[in-house]
Amino acid sequence: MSFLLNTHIHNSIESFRANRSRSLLTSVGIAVGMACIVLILSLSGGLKQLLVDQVSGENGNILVVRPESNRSANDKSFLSLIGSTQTYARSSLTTKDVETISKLKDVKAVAPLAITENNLKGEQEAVAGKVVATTEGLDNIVELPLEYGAFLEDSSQLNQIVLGHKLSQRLFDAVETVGETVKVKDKVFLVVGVLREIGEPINYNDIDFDESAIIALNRAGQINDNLQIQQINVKVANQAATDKVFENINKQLTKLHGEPDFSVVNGANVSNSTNRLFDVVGYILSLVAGVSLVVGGIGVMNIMLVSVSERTREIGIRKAVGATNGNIMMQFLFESLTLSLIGGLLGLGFGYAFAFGISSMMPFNPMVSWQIVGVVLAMSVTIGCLFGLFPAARAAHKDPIDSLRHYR
Amino acid sequence: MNERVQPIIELNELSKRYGIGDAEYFALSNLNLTILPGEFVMIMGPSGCGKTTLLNIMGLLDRATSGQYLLDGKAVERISRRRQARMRGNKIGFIFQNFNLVPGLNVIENVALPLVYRGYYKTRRLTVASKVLERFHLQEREYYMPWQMSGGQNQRVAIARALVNNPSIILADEPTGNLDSRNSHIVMEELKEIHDQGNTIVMVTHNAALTTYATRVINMLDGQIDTDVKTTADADLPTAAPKEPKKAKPRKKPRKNKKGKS
Repeated sequence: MSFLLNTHIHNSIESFRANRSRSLLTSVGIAVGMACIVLILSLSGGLKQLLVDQVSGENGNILVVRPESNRSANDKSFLSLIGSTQTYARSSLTTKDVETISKLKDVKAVAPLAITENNLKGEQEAVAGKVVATTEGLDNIVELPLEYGAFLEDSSQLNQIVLGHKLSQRLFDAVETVGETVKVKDKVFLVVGVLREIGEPINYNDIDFDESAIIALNRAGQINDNLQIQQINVKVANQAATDKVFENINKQLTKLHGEPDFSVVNGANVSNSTNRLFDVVGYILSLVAGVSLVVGGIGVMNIMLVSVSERTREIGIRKAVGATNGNIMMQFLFESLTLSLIGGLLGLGFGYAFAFGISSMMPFNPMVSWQIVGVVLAMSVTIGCLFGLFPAARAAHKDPIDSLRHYR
Repeated sequence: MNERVQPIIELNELSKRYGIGDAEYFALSNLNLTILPGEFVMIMGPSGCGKTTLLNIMGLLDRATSGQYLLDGKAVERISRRRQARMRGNKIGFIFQNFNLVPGLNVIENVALPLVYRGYYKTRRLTVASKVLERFHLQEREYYMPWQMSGGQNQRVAIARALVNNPSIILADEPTGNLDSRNSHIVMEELKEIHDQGNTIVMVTHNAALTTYATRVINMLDGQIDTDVKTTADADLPTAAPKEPKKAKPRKKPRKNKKGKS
């Protein structure tokens, strides 16, 4: 016996068209919830993709070493996720690690990052800003195009500083500030370069370079006795060697520290530690959107119940001419599926339209992936079945004689 | 023609009880009836005598409380609802007083409806339905909606629907009840034509004038057969079991409430 699939699909589309406005409104109820979920998933996905791309963008040959405050790398509890995105009170990474890594085979460049909040004083009043202590290797790893001047030199005897584009403007009301001096904690630094505007406030270094000043790590001791290295960026000579270098760093640093109190990540999982918080926030937002989906689902159930009671007579006729309870059940189940699937597709459209609208003001694009489409379709089907089940069962169990006698 | 033919419907000691306790009454009580192929049976009687209940049970829409029902020689009183539904689709054609066409479907789709549940594909369904409609001279109105046509036309569509699955028996519940005399006449002529083509029809009616079309008239009273008369001495009709002619048997079960349900 065939399942009358074609007939059910045809019937449900016909019934959607017959009650156009009512059906469409119900679908929009589903669409709103779906749009929220699409928005959240695509934006958070886009954000993660952005970070991964920055690291593995060129050749996938960058590794990031981060201190791990929790000893266990397997501990993925909620609190440790949040903790991992904060600046570390006590970093386990030292300048010695930097030297060790730079001596490893196939390592092309190493750039430690030690970020501190400091007041910088230019010509006018002091301005709060981030001071990044690093080495000249940073220029090699992160693309930092210079507007004026040159990047730091490790061997220089001077207190050199490179200003971010916006920071330079705030300090001096000018961009061409090479040769000026900036005071950081009473120490005088000579501006040797100004960065071009980058406009990427979100990256795997957690630094907005436009708003930061960069100094050499070996000079940073003057302004901060207790310098913490938050991460070490490592550029590998070629992609093929990445895995080997990854292992070597792990081995060498474990030997140095005596315990694995750090983690090495590469492009694919660089976003894991920095931005698992985004995931958590995304899940919580999705949950809220899920509540609106339940509301939409109740709307579907409501309309289906109306439809069933409106068409009591039709049910009676269909049963009289040979429809089984199962046939009737499937017919109404397909109808609620149509409502929720059309809602899901509308939501997909709305969600992406909105996501692209928002992203035009953001430094990243929303993620377009079949996973999101899959999630939306699966949820639509689930909602359609779940909330269509009760009305369909009600339709199926109507008594044919009473139904035939039913007057509207 | 003395050989015994297989009756289409055979009811033995059939009872249908409604209500329980004090409210209990029998819409049908210990009813015996045999309907042979090719008969045009008209069931008459006052409202509440159990005519419609009998028709519903014969149409497998309802189940009897007790007794035996053989449809095409098969006992059907205990089969599952699912198989009952399939049997309705395969063996029985219904015609109702208020036509009962699905309002959202056009004429040809309405006629093709029973074939849906037989699992026919769409083209085949529509071809078969179209052929049946041609017999009723309705082929120009295949794509009309039910509300665009007169009552008589609607009823002819309903008859076409009842015929589309080649049923063993056609059950009609006051098919002319909602029609004026002219349309009644047209519909009855159609039914007669169907009967002449060899179909078996059981029809419930209030209108005594229509009994001229029938080959057998049954009068019911209080859930039992009161009189059972063959109106036309139809030589072509096969003779049935020696049980005939049937007469009402004395009631065996007392009824507290004689008011029936039509």
